[in-house]
Amino acid sequence: MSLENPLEKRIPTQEEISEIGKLSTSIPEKIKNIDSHLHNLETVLNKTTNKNEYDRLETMFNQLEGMKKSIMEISSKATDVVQNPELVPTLTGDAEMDEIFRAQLAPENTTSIEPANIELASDESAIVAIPPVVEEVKTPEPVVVSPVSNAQAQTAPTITPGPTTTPEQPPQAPQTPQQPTLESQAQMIAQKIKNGDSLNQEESDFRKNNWGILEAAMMKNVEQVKPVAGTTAAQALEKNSTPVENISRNLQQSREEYVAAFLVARKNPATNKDQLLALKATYDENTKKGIDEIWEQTKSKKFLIDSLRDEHRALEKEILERDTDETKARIEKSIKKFGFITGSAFLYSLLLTGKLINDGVELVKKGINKITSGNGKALELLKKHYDTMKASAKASDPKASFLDQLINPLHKPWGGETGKRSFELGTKQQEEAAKKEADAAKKAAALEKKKVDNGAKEKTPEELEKSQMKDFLKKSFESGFEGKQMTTKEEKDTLRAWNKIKDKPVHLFMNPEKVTYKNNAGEEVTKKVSDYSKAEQGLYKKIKDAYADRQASTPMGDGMTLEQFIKESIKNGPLK
Amino acid sequence: MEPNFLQQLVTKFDIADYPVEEQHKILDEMSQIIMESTLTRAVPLLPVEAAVEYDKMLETDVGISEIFTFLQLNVPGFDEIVSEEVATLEKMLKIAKS
Repeated sequence: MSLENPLEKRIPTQEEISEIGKLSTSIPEKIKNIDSHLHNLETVLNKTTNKNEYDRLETMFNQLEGMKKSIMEISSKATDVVQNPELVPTLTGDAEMDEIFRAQLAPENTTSIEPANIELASDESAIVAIPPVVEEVKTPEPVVVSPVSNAQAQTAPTITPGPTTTPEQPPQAPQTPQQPTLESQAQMIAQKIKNGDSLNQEESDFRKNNWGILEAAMMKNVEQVKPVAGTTAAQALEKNSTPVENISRNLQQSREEYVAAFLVARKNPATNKDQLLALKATYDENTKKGIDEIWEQTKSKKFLIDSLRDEHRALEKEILERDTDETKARIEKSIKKFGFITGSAFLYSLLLTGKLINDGVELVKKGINKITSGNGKALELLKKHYDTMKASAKASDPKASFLDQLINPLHKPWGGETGKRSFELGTKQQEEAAKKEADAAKKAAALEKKKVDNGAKEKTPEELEKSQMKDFLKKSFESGFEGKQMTTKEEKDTLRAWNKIKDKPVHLFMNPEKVTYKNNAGEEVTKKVSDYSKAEQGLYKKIKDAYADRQASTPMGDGMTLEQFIKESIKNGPLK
Repeated sequence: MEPNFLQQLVTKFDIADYPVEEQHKILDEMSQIIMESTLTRAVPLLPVEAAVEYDKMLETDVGISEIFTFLQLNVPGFDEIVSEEVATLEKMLKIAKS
């Protein structure tokens, strides 16, 4: 409503006078509560050394003082109405606003520890109500409630708070049992949540419909913005009533408490993102404790995974909401973009940091050193890209080079259903390979012992690696063709054919029916399959079959094209 | 069995006591958390001009490695962010398992 509107002069009804009289009885209690808060705030204020905190508390202090002043003014007017109804026709001059004031001054509200906070606007022309003060982190968001004319404020007589008795005043309404206020209900529910007690339907509904009020109440329970996930889980354990569901529920409730603190902190413009992240980190630490309890109870990672995922996502969402819509959309798009590579996300995340990249390189190196044991196709894949990385690594940025080479080929074969299947297949192969490796290790140990016994010169690490690599590649090449060891004659034929074709352009093998290419002299040459020897044709077929087999059954999946495969085969070839 | 790449990751994250299938699931789920946490923290740090370019990249079928490289080059402390998220993951798993 406009502040310029003149107040409507009218004589209040007896009912209104009676009601205002009752309202005025609440004033002393209101003032007492405010004084108590002012005292507490002043105490905290004097101990505060942080400037931001000091400023924030000082603002609260001023707001409370303003509220006190406003209530006293209203009290004056209320008394004036009762004593001289013809002089002050209404409380505010507006029936709707009167209602709001009545709600503010209602006797039942005086039982609340938290008074409604009201401050005067800077021009003292409007009274502003703010949400309940929460000492930890809160910057109230003013809501204009009602105008008060300066004239009224100036002319209002000083009164002694309390009911005014006049001949016209009807008897006070009988005292009825006070209904719980929203705040007191919220306090009660917050306490139940904190204790891990279950909520009844009414309380659940309350939580759903009055989250803001509950949020403030919870803030009181999460003193100093301390999440209590671990605590509540531990409490549940102490009570010896520790079904997993209870612990999980406690975690969820604690999360709500934390999120309440989080939301409050977020509303404070002084809270920056780093501080929010710090809150999250604190919460993570406590969540871990809760999860620890779950683990003890279940020895299952189901709750571990579910809890962590849910908690993190919820909190990331909270952080995300702090960003602008534009940034939010950008993050969501990014996550969606990366989402399809779930299976490999771990790997590339792991490899993304300097430390972990180094670890990754070490792991691959170790893997390559053990490559003769044939332990899994995934290692094979990594080996290829490790080789590529080594060949093309930029001295200035080995990290980026490693990532470029390693991450890119991983995302397809390891992602989605295909990746999952490959991953599972890879695992089976690893298990099968384990037995073979154990046997191979025994044989290798026996062979090594024999060499030593025969006085054979021990190989250097480089020689050993080279030798092992050759053996591995040879074995892979052979088994890749037919899945079995070749006979001596087959091997001989294959090697002969290989030696003939290995230096030819790769694309010759891409389409054996007919292919046109430029030779070394730059001349265009067209060849058909019949231009090749039978051995060459057979070798092509074997390469193609081997490729199809790998596509279907290895972690490589479709991560490597036939052309790449042939190139790899040519590059690494069957070494003698 | 000689340790292979996966096994060493399992060792690194101290989840060797889990059944193999659960190991994979844990790694999968945790990696998703790392990814989302990292992006949530890193993307808002993109400078304005880089953010515009980044938006364009997202609209194309550009590879994941290129996007990550872009973030590495344009987001201050990107590696540290990932490192922190991974470290958190390690810590969580160790605590949860201990």
